[in-house]
Amino acid sequence: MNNITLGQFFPGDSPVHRLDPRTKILLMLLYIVVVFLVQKTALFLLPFAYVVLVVALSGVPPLYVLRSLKPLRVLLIFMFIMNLFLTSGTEVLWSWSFLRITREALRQAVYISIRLVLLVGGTSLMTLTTSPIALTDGLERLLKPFSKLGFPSHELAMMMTIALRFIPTLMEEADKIRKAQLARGADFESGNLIRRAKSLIPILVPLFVSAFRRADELAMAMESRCYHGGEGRTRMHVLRYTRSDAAAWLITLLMGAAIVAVQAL
Amino acid sequence: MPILLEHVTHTYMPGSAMSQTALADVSLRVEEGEFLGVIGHTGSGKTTLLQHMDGLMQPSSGRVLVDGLDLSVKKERIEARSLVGLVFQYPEYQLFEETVARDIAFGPRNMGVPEDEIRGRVEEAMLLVGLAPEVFAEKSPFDLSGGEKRRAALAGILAMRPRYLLLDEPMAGLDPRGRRSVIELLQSLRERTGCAVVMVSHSMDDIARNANRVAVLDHGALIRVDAPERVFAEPEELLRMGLDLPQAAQLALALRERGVPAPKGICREEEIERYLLEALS
Repeated sequence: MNNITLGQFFPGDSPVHRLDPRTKILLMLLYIVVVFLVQKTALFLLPFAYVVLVVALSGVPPLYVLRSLKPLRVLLIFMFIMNLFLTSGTEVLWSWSFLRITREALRQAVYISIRLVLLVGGTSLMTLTTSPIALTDGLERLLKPFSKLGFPSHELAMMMTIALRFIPTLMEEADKIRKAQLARGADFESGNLIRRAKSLIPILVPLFVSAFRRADELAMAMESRCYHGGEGRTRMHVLRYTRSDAAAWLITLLMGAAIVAVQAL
Repeated sequence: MPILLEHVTHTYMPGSAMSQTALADVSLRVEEGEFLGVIGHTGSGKTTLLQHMDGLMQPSSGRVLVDGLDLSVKKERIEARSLVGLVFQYPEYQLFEETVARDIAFGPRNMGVPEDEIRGRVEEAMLLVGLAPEVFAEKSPFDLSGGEKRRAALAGILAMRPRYLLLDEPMAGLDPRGRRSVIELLQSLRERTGCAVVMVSHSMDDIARNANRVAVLDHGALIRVDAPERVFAEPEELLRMGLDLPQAAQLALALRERGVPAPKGICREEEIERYLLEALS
């Protein structure tokens, strides 16, 4: 129960890990745009090569990246079939009663699949190489300009950090409560769906009570250490852009420019 | 019939780099009606041991029998849970029902006790722990004070009428009066129903005063199981393991170090008192 990994962070000290989280968040957005810009089959090689390069630099085992694609299987097949049969086109390749496949539809289905794989594979690299804390840190800084408009960027990031921090604690607690109710003869495994859902009440009620109690205690502990929100707050680790951030920007922008240029020809 | 642990070993996360032996080849017999104290420093495997006795954890090797029921078999494990009552540390955090009475009824109801008998059992359990049924039965458990919650949670286990009552530091966080009332409750329960009590505690005084036998755990290994006067007669070993001595044994040890021949087996107040009176007169 204690060995669940949060998100899927793969700890390391590679150039990719050391990138500023802000860079990684923004480049991920840029990468998504690039993947959608590609309209020629051969050009998909560019974002693919980009992902391979990042994986190689990060030292994350390629298997980890592939594993992140696993939950995608069902969606992938579904999207492929939907696009294959529902996209209209002129050049019919195959037909049977009301079903028909056109060249355009095939192209569309293949493109969608490639895009999905590239998207999930590429974006999972960000969560694999950035710790949740660094991620919320970067997010807070990126959203900071919006706090002038009343957007609670610091509060949001703090909430995310606290939530992440307490997931293992609450899982441990849930396990303890589950065992205590098992010892009182509770049965969580048999019966139909409604019965099983009902059997969770003896776990959920104490878990919620304790979550509220913890929240209350944490709030008091933070207040007693003079926490008063984000205003005027300094940090122990100040985020700084470095040369490798510039390099990462350069590579990503070059890839995007190359794709746009080739397609414009 | 006893609770029997035969060569029980438990390893957390076996095979991984974080693998950790929580219990190492523990063989132990909990006799019917006895009061067994379990001592050991934090992380010595006390809680793991209790959870094995109720089938909440399964040994990596070895086996556990409760009155002949093998806890590795699901059906027998469930049957065994109505013989064994396990009170976790801070049991008050497991209260969940709308009223105290319904929370106490949870265990017996799961065991399939008929409704009209449950009512009697709930009342009996509430009286045992000193919660007057006419005052507390219909209260929400979340409106009780800390000590009352603890007693309500304890009543929830007692209503199952266990033959073996296992308690994980039942007095943690209670004031002296609360501690005393828990101990008195356990002793009177044992006299009345003949159930066995297995109590994990850091309070050596409570262990020395109440237990028939003491089990000493260190890094998952069962170092010894013996009468308290014999266990506490070897203070060096216990101190090396980071454990305390009962106050009476501490006093006897201090006297011996200063050349007063206080006998080694002293571990209870009345024993040291008797010795001192004799020695002084």
